[in-house]
Amino acid sequence: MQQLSIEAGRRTGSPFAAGPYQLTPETIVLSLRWGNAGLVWNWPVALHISHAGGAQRVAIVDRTRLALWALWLLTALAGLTIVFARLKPRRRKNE
Amino acid sequence: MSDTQDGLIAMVVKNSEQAADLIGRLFSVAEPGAVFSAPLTTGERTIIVASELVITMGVGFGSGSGPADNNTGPSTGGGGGGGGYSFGRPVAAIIIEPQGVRVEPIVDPTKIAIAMFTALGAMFFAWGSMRKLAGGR
Repeated sequence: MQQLSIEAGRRTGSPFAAGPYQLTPETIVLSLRWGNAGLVWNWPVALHISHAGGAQRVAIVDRTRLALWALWLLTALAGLTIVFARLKPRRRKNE
Repeated sequence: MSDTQDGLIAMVVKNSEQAADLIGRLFSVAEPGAVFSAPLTTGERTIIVASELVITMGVGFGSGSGPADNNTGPSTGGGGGGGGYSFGRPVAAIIIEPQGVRVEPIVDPTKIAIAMFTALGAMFFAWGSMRKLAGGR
């Protein structure tokens, strides 16, 4: 039996220099491995910026993903409405 | 066991090891550095693109042996196959300027439009169902 391994969590990468700034990437990684098959999903969440004046964490917001989640939620709600609307007349008939 | 069978098993074992190595290399994409592009500098401005990455891959091998139809000895066979999918989408551009660092989101209007039409279609059918229900039929 092949073993399934699942890993998910935040990861911080190696810092790199860009001009006067030192940048450290932060991502969320979901990885699945099952025998000779695997899936990796990696998306950026923030960038740690350090410079002579101090350090800050800049969040990376995925606006496309947010919009898609909102639209998928609307679609699911509409789907549920259709299901309930079709179930209700049947219940009335049975009563 | 015949030499043909030994050779076949050795080949399958070697291929399985290569497949495991290939899948292992797939996990290098899980490193945070993989989603941030190399800094691109133009004048005083440096731009780094942050992207979402999805990679999936699978390979498989199989072999078998049995008696040949004409009783001339064992018959062997083997085969393998694999497939994969990869996807990348830019999420934001990080712009480093002398004034400071700013993050500019990158929006994918095509994806949003497709999802919006699906949502509108579902809402239209939901509205129709609710109207029917309100009519008592």
